[in-house]
Amino acid sequence: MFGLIPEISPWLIEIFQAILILTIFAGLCGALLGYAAVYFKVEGNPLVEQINSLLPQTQCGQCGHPGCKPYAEAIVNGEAINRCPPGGEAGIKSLANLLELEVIPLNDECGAESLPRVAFIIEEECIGCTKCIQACPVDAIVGTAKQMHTVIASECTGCDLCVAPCPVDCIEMLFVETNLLNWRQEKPNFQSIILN
Amino acid sequence: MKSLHNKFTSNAIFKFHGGVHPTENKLISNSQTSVKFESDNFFRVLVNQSSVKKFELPIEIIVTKGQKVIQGEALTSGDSSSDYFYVPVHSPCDGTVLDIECFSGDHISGLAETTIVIEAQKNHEKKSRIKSTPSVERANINWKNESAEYLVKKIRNAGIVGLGGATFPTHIKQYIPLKRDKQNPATLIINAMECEPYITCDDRLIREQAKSIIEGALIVSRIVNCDKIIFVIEDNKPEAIMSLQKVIKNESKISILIAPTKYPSGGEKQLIQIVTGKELTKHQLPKDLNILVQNVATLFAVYQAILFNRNLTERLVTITGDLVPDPRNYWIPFGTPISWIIKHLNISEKDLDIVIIGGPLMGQKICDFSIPTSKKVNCLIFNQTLVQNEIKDCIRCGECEIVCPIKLLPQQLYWFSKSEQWKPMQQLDLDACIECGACDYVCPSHIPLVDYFRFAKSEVKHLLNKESASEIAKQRFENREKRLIRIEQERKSKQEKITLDRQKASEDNSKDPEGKKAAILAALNRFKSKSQGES
Repeated sequence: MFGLIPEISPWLIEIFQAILILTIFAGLCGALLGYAAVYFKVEGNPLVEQINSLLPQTQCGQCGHPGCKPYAEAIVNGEAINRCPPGGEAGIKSLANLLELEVIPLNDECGAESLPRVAFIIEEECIGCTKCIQACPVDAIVGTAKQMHTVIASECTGCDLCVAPCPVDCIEMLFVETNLLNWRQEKPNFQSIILN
Repeated sequence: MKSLHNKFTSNAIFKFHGGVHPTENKLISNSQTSVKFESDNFFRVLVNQSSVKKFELPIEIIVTKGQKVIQGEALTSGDSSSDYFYVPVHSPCDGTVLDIECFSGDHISGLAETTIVIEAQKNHEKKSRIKSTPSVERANINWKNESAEYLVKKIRNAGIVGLGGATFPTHIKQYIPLKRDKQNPATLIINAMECEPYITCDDRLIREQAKSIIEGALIVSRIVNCDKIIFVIEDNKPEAIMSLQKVIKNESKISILIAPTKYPSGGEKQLIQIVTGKELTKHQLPKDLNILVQNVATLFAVYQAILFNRNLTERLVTITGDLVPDPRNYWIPFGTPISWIIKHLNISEKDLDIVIIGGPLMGQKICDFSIPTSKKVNCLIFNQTLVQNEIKDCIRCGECEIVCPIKLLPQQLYWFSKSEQWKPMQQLDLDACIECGACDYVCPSHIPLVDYFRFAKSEVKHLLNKESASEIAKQRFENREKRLIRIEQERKSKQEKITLDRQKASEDNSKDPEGKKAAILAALNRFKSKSQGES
């Protein structure tokens, strides 16, 4: 009976063995990768999230995009990183650091970097039109139709978007006052007393 | 192996890393007895004199403009439950509330804080401005029978904060009793180190009021229920040690540990290291080692509050420096403007540019002399302005690393702070820096290192605040977007439903003309019955 099977040379067996082992191994790897592709799938572009976390989240739209996340998406698609005035120079630096780009000055078209501000509604003049409530990107204005509105100062990002829609111009942007909670120590500057 | 308890009983002294030995200059003021400083003037009492300023404390002022107040009367309320951290302040004199206004306070920024202005009564003529220490009448209280909660509440209502200079509310430290633990016996460590140059108020207080301080210590040990009381004192105060030893002869619970003089051995963490040999990490509190640390001046205030019902309205302040004609320790009421101290003690204003509040190493330099004293002011140094040392570049000598008591790398931190790189600074434990100024003291280039670290700390705090604010804004923005999408979808689906219904109705009508007729009839009937009802 054994005589019927042609004699296979040992080196051929070795080759078959190698092929078999590699095929099984490749199959396992393929299954693992397939599993990972399904169960560990990354939703969205992680770079967008990273960029978004560096943006100041004022949602002011000065960059020409409707909010910080859309701007983050635009940056991924090649938009310039110098279009965010609230983030300012520090923001551009951190973006350039993340994306390994050159640090460039802020684009003047988008506006200038300013000190932190909050919106303030002159309550006697408010007619209760709700237009500012609709404009506020972070729901920081409370009020209802024909009732006086007011700004929740702690939630206001100072984005300016509520100023333009107001028909009676009763919204002012005020600079945030320095108090014991937000006071910042100055950088030591001893240039003046250093003698050359 | 020696257990920790044995180490305690054998009065072992451990060492901490680094430290410096600056010129002490304590002899200027520690040989004269303390006297009462009195001025029939006005006082500016800051409404928040504790270190807890980072929270917006809801401070309730319970006096009004024009109201008459008596010495020791509470000016603010500390009773409402929301302000657990708040410690009330009290009137320093008999007088009238002139005004409640914002005035530059004792914070390093010099920002305006709410103050209560009180004009002292002038009707009784004072023979001399300076009297001896207050004579007191002991109240009839046996504190041994009172509950710990009652005593803590009393301490809080008396306005007591840590009088070593940090002004942390004392009642918060004492609220939780120490645990019974064999490895770490519950210990009350009494900080009598006073390691900074020039300051002698604790030294003087021990010499004059040793008995009261010991009683204060016994009251606190009753509150936190501890096994041992250890007085730790530097060996440069032999008179104070002697007067303590005289009093504690018959108290088995109390021992004195005499530590070698080294700055900053009076820091809470350094003190614990000296006594126990254990180093606290930056996240640990003394409580984790079953230890409570209290300053001697705080204990004296506790003694006065419990046994004499006296609220904290004054403290012993060292007035020293080469411009003071009579340098010594004065009992100065809180709220006395520094300009009045200058006037009453005949300090020559001509040569005076800067007053140092606190010691020369950790103290705060003040140019505005109108600011009032507060609970944190333990020393005022009036020195002739010295020539500012020229600040040179860092030569990387590493002296600062040798003296740092918490083994930080000041030189590295300095470079990172200068180039505003906050991430690596946080990795190098910037927030563990106690700002003791030892690195400043040894720096051969006279670089103000601590100023750089304070700047970095404030920037890091600002960045963290900004991050959390932007995180909140992001959440709110996303929630709003979601809501807008949801409303839009709901509107759309409603619209679709209506159009579908209409289509269906018109289809039904075309299929079933009888039904349409019936519907018209029903509507007509409804209209008729309605019009009949109306008529």
